[in-house]
Amino acid sequence: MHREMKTKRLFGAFSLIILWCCMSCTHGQTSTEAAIDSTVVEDSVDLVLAVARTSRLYTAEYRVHKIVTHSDVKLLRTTLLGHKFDTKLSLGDRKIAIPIDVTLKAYVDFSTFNESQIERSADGRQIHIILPDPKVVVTSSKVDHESTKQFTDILRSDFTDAEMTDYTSQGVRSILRSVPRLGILETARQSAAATLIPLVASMGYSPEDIVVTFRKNYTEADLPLLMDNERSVVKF
Amino acid sequence: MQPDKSNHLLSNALLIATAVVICALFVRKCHEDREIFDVEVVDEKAIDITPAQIRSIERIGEWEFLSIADEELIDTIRHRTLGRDDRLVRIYRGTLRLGVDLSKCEEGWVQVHGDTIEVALPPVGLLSERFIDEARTRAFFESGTWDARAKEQMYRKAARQMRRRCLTPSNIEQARENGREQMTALFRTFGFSTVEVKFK
Repeated sequence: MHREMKTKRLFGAFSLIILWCCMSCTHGQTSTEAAIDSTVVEDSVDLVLAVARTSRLYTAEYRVHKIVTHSDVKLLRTTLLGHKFDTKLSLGDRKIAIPIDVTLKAYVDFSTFNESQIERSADGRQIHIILPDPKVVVTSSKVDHESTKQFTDILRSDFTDAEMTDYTSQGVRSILRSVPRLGILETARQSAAATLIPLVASMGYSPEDIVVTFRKNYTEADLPLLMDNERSVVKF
Repeated sequence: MQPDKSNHLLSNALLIATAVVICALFVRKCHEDREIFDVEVVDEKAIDITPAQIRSIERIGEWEFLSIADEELIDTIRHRTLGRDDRLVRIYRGTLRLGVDLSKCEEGWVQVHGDTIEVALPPVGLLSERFIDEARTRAFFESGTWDARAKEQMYRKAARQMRRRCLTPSNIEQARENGREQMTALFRTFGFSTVEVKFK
């Protein structure tokens, strides 16, 4: 009698749990669209609003596509007397692929341009303009959420939003590291000259008498010395 | 017999106590210096090495006069009948750049008359519609699972809010004013005493 009552209580509790799970799963899916449109909270707090007066001539734009992938493997790391031994845990796999599109722009900063960077010949016919070094900045990055794919085994949880943004951020950083090999520098220099020469020619100079140079022919080796404090700006 | 038995018990107890003390000291030492012995579960956080593909290369001529860095907090909620509501809160970052696109300059936009130069620039506007750096987005709070459509809607909402907050008449006028100053300073370095800058 007592055992029968206990069995019935357990069955009832189990049924309630199953019912709650079903309600939680289905209710969210049918009302998502309405929920997003009608319950998005607009927060008007000004978190950061930084306005800066600039004088930048953007001369080259590169659009770079990358698929950021990550295989989440849990390792059991044993350290014994300074030696590390890793063993893969059989908890199931988690993999994710995130396509991202990054826009890089190279620019010449004219805010410090002055007369010392202009040289004229004695007869005034020829002009030599020494431009500031080009810089590269990430102007935008976009995650293709529709094409993002993740695969998780039954024992593992889905990737969180924080994890995905971390991988996206790593992906953009890896693109920045490859900037010296993209050729954007040379494109920026040629485009700057192509923009300025007609402008200077309209001042009365012949295009053949206009020379545009840059301060230094930087190479990849100079990159570590010239990283700016601003996160997305790489100086060359 | 009794004394032998008691001695035997005493020696066993001493052995056990010594073993316990040695183990405790070893564990304490391991805790202080994890290079002796340590076991931990490690997550590999680094992404895989994959190539970057250049989709397009474009030579442009955009002159930026004002940049506005902005952050927007976007919140979305999914109500549930039972249990707590699901919520996703993200902080988006973007930089809106105001200036002129020199490719839109009309023929003869620079006119020279002696030591006077007249420059007719196109209207000041947003240089690019893509200004959000989604890689710098911070997931502030998350509960429940969220699909691609929800995140796309949040992204578009962040872009709308940034445009509304930053593309104000005062900011556009400030960009125009800075453009006049910068262009005047630039052409004065080329030797012109009078510089007239106009925006269409």
